[in-house]
Amino acid sequence: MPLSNQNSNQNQNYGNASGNPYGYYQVNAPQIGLTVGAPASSTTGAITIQVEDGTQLLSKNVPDELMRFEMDGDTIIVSFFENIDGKRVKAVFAPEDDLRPIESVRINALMTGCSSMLKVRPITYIKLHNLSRHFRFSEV
Amino acid sequence: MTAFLDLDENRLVEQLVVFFERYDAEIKKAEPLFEIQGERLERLARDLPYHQVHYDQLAQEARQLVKWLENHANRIEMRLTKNYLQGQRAYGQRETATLIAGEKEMVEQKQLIIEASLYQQRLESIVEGFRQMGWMIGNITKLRVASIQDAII
Repeated sequence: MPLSNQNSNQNQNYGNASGNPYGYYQVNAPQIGLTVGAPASSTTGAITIQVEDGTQLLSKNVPDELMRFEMDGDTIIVSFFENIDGKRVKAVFAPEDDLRPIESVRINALMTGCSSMLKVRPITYIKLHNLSRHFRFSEV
Repeated sequence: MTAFLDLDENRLVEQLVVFFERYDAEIKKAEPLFEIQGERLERLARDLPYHQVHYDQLAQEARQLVKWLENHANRIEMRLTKNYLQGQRAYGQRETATLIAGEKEMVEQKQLIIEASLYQQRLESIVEGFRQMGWMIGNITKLRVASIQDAII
């Protein structure tokens, strides 16, 4: 039997089996869900990718954003983030007028640490070095 | 004109950060200069004095920054001493010195001096590293000229 005919028969068979005139099985694509979980540690968050039946394709901790620069007109707003007791805390840099040189150097060191993705815990650092008065804290 | 003439006690908050950031960046830039694997000997020998001078100048600048900060610390000390002398209770010289050393302003100034000294020492160690590298390149060159670089003792 010529090869072409054989293929055409096979296609016909598949078509019969699926009840589809084009010869393909209909498969419903599974719904894949992405879940961003609660903070996993002080500087990481949890991310989960799972199929609708509950099978997990991926579940891992990913590094969280530590620092963000935003423009507000001519002003640059610098914010730091950390997960503390399961909550995401944000600290916006708002220096008091009496910012001292050592405080300025420490805040700069914090920025350098965050931008080079060192394992810095910004809010802990701020509190440890008594820099809280130069920041506005909020929960995100 | 050097950067120190522009240094203002009232603007230390911004100015010191600029100094420290620059030293930090330069120290980071020095690291790859010590990786000489696969580099041409001639290029290494030619560039070495330039790097050495550059870092030596930075180290000297850092040394002067330390002096400048020490000077500023003396000024703070003087002001605090004056306050203590004008106070109601008369302290002895030694007591006054101890109390002033523990004053917040003084402690913070000393922390800045420590930070600047650390940068100075790190820059000086880079310069020393380049000196060693020059000596090593000289020796490698001599070995290659004599074609005994593979000699085993």
